[in-house]
Amino acid sequence: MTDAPAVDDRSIRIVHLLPDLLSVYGDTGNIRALVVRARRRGIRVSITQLLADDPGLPRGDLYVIGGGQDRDQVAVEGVLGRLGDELGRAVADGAAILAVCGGYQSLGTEYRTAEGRVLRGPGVLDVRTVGSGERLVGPVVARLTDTRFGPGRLTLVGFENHSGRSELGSDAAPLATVERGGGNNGRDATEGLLAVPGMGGMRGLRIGTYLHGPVLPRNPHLADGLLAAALSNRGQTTDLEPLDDTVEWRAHDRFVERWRTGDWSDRLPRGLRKVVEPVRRLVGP
Amino acid sequence: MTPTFAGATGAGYAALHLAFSRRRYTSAMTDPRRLSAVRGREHRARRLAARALAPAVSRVSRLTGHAGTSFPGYVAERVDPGILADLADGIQRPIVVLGTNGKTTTTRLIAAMLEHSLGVRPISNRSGANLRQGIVTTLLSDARPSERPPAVLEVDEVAFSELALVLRPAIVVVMNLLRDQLDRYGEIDAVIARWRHDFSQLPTDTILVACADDARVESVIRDAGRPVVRFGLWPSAAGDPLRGGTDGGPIPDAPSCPTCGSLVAFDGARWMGLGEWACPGCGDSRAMPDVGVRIADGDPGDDLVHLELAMRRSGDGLTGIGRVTVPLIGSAAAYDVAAAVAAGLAFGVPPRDAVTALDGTGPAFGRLEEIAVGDRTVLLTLAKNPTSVAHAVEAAARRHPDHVLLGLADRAADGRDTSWIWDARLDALAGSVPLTLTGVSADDLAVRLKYGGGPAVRSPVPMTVDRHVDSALSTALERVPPDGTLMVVATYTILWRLRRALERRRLAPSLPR
Repeated sequence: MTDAPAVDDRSIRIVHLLPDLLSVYGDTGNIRALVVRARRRGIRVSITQLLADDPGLPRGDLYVIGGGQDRDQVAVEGVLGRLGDELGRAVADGAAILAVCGGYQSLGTEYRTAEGRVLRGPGVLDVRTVGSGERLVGPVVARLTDTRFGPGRLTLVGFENHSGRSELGSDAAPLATVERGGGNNGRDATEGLLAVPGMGGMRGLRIGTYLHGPVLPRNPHLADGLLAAALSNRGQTTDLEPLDDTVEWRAHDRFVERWRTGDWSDRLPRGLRKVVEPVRRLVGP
Repeated sequence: MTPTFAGATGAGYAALHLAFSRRRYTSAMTDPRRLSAVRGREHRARRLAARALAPAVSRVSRLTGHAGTSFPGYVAERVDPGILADLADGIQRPIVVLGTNGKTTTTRLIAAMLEHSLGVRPISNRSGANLRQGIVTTLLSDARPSERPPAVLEVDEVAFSELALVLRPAIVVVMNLLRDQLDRYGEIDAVIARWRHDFSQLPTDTILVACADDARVESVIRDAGRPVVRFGLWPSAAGDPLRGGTDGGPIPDAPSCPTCGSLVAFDGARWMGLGEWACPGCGDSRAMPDVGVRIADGDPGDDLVHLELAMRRSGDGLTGIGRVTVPLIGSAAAYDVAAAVAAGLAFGVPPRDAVTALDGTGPAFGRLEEIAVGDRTVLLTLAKNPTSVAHAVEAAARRHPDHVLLGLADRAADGRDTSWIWDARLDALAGSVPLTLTGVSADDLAVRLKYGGGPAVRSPVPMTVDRHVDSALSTALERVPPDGTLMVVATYTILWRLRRALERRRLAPSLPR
């Protein structure tokens, strides 16, 4: 791995949306992954934060929004009520967006909390979410639906933790198919949302996902897809020189290997599993 | 060893058979009121069996390489669902310690203080096993020093809900509510809501000993309708009482105001999300603590923390009551000691006695525990969330380790969601020191460190990845020069394995169970 950036006159603008409200679960790691991967290729990056009290939406080629607690989502609704349309226009004009968990839910058309309260979203992502009493928590291994991501790897890994159940609208396709874990709703084996509006290449790429971990460092193909989308919004060449991602893919593959087929006790007959599971949980460490 | 093993195994199977044989007992376990339905001759048999089997099960658990701090309690409760209530009747109403950070050290400090002032060693879960089964194991196995001995128990944030009614604590110490293992609990807000409910179920004379510097804790205890003793920082005229604890960076998950819900601000000193908070929205602010603490200037070369303690006599002023020097490193120790003194106050220990008793008390398991390995030193630190990593960073800055062994696992006791490593200042820990990464999630640590601490592209520090904990320990030790220090920063299950590996080599004394 070389740290000396190649000579390159390309540049992108990343806008981190509401880090003051949505920043638990290590999602700042997504920004780091994007910045580091761009700079290693000599692409200049500027990062702007949109804080809850800021008056206007900064212009960007790539918008990133993370996850938070339910309480914060009410505050997020307020900000998005003010700036959501502007964000919608920026994305319609070709900017890319990555929305994780709470941000994914907030940018949809509607979020109905478990208490029955309806939060209207700006509809940047065509998804609606209903809160439920039961959380989907655990490791997720999924398979990307779009083959344009990455160097031949289609698996997607991360950790989910959400009570909302999301249903995709007619304009949206799932980002991935779940092999292990709950995904959008624990029912239809879909995970996340993917929209590539066909402006040429990945321009205007919209990704919504429930995956933390954070998602981008261990899924470099997804990170590079977003960088390519940001570059194409600036009309710059989207060729990304390959990086040495040995460390990233080792963590990725190890995760897949550990979780895809489930834990060994998942393969036991149900009766036996009921005995083994509590014992296994308790004898440790 | 073979006959012992066979006997223990036989007893273990017998226990398992009893444990899983009756369904109605399981439902009674979760609802003590239904116990009367299953009382009778069989119940008496089960009471005896549960107690008789405990040592055997404990033995099996340890022979198979486990800690034996939870499983015996689990089996005992399966055999006799009413055992916890029975055992709780046999001790004084306990002191319960709650919070995300500092439970184990504080529990240990309180236990040492009570032992000093009462002359009786209290029952305590010193190993840190703080779930329901761990509490049962502790009450079953800890030697009875007297009739109805005092007890100091650290209890998990969520397990507290089902234990509060049964244990009927005399005192509940609420340390803090910082970000910890969100996957188990959903969200911090969910824990706050749960605690509000739990605290309303406590006996009305239970005294709450609470951290005034944590706005989240304040929002739970303020309306609990129970007597409260608060502890917190005692600012000096010079300002910051917590040396090196404030990094000036953004506050990780800042708490909201208990009154109006806006994010609170910190004018004065703070350590992580704790300090002299004030709300810019409604003007609410930190209550004056009854016990105050600050770090006194000591010899900067030594590895001890010198603390000055103060008490509120009358009105709003704090008056000094004495100094405590503890072999704990870092600002977190200030809160742990203040909590122990405040708990002593609530228990009736004169503050000056408390201060004397605490002076020189050693660290708890994995809380900067120091073990001599030949001519090298191993420093064990538990890392479980950004706060505990900040603690480790402080310690590293003082101890200058020659090598750091970082361990990450994702079993239930570690916290299954490891994404917190991206919010923690692990890169500050790595710095210029060579690293060995270990544990089942060691590869995730490697990714985290590759992406560094900030937007700047940095050269990676030299590091080795070895997922196998025992061999990683050996290689790391080999890289430490004579008279050097190996610092271990790892999640719970890894720290346990390392501790046991050192015990097996007869390098570390066995832990009190």
